[in-house]
Amino acid sequence: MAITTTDSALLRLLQLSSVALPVGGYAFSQGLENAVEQGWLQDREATHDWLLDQLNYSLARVDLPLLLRLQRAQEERDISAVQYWNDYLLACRETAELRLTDTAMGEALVRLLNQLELPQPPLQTPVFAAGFAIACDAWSISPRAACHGYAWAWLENQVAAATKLVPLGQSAAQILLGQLSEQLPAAVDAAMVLEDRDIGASLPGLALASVWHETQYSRLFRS
Amino acid sequence: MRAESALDKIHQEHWHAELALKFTRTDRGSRLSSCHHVGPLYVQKPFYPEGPNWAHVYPLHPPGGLVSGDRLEISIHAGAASAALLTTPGAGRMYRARQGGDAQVQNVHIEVDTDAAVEWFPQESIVYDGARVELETTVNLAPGAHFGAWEITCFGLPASASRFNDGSFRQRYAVFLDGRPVFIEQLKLTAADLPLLDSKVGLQGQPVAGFFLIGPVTAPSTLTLDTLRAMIGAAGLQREAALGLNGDFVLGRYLGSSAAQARKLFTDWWQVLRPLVMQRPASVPRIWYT
Repeated sequence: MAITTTDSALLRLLQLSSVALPVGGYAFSQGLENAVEQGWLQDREATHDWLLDQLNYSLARVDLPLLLRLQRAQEERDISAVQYWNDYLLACRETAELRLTDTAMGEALVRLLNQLELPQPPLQTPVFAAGFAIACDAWSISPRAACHGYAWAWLENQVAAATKLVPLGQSAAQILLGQLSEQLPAAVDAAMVLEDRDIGASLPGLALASVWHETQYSRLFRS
Repeated sequence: MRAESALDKIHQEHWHAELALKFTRTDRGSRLSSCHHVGPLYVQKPFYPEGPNWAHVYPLHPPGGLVSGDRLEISIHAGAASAALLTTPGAGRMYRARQGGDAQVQNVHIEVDTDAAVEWFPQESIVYDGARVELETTVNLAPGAHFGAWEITCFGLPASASRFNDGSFRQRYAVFLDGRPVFIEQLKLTAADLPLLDSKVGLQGQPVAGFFLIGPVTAPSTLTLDTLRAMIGAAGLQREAALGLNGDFVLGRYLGSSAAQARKLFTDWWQVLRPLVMQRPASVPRIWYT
């Protein structure tokens, strides 16, 4: 397993974590649009807490530990393990909106990787983290760096959604990105030591908002 | 120093209790073909209020709660084409743990074979301030099996100021279909996680959280989802409950102040969904009315 990330691997990670990656992440707010509708997120501070709690209680306990397992399984070319952890991630998603975010972005990423001629296992309903792990393995990106890139991509996407919805000014969005990115390394540390039996989360407030989004009267984001 | 109470006396003892139930479909219906128990956890004979093919069973746990070091193990196995509904007559109480004492543990293991069905509707768990609780439910479904369940948890004593702000709590619920994970939920509240109790993404300061799960379903119509969602409005719970399709399961949630409210809503949903998922009209257990 790669321990360090080379210069070329770092550049590949930037490519993979960029908002310009054509996987359609901008189309989803992951519960945030309805949380704003409920009046829960009226300023930068409330948005900060909404995202920080997801980082600590959801990304650190679901996405990142599963990304690590997916990358390990891909490195070992253990296709059934890749499929298992892929399904596990979907099973942790609390709503149809959150599942759709993952499967839509996952399918798009797999299509893109095909065009980049990266080898891929034949996965059913690939999630975004599975495609991400496959690319990180192929480009020799260290698992720790992969976690930072994945979490950054999520964070930037959520802050972009908050900028439109809360709404936040461009400077406020940059301040928020700075504050929350300082918290990423601790979330990655927590993910790296999590045991299999501790993977999972329960965020009832997020789940309610995400389901309500399906029937929200007017909305900018997909559900 | 507190005066020694009856509760402290209970804390002196440890109870390990086990219950293993096996249902088998015979030409006389879904029979409880095997029933082993250890300690204060048992069932009386099954009831058949909706005919011989669907057993109703009430696991009884006379202590009604768990203290430090207590351990409950429940295993339910529904053999091919058998069907059983299991519900408990009272809430499960998780009392304050003894200082330095062991956790209180409850494990439920459910196996549902081909074309069998299990419904697992325990009454709510009440988690006292200072409890140290490990609850784990694992469900393995064979292809063609069906499963319906709910889980309702109250943090702190309802209708009192004593909320949960000390202790630890871990509740894991995992459902597998033909070996593939289909539903994983884990609520973990150690000292470091207590902010989740008030967080907007978490429990929002509400004492009662619950979910209702049933499936697998073959794509319920929009009409059905609309009907089920209309029941939320009819109950005045627009800000406490939501329901949607999550993969092959219908998943509803409640976050509010009343376990009874949650149970009522889940029961209403179940009455609409059971005929669609299990091809059988709902037959409400009598003890739910009491």
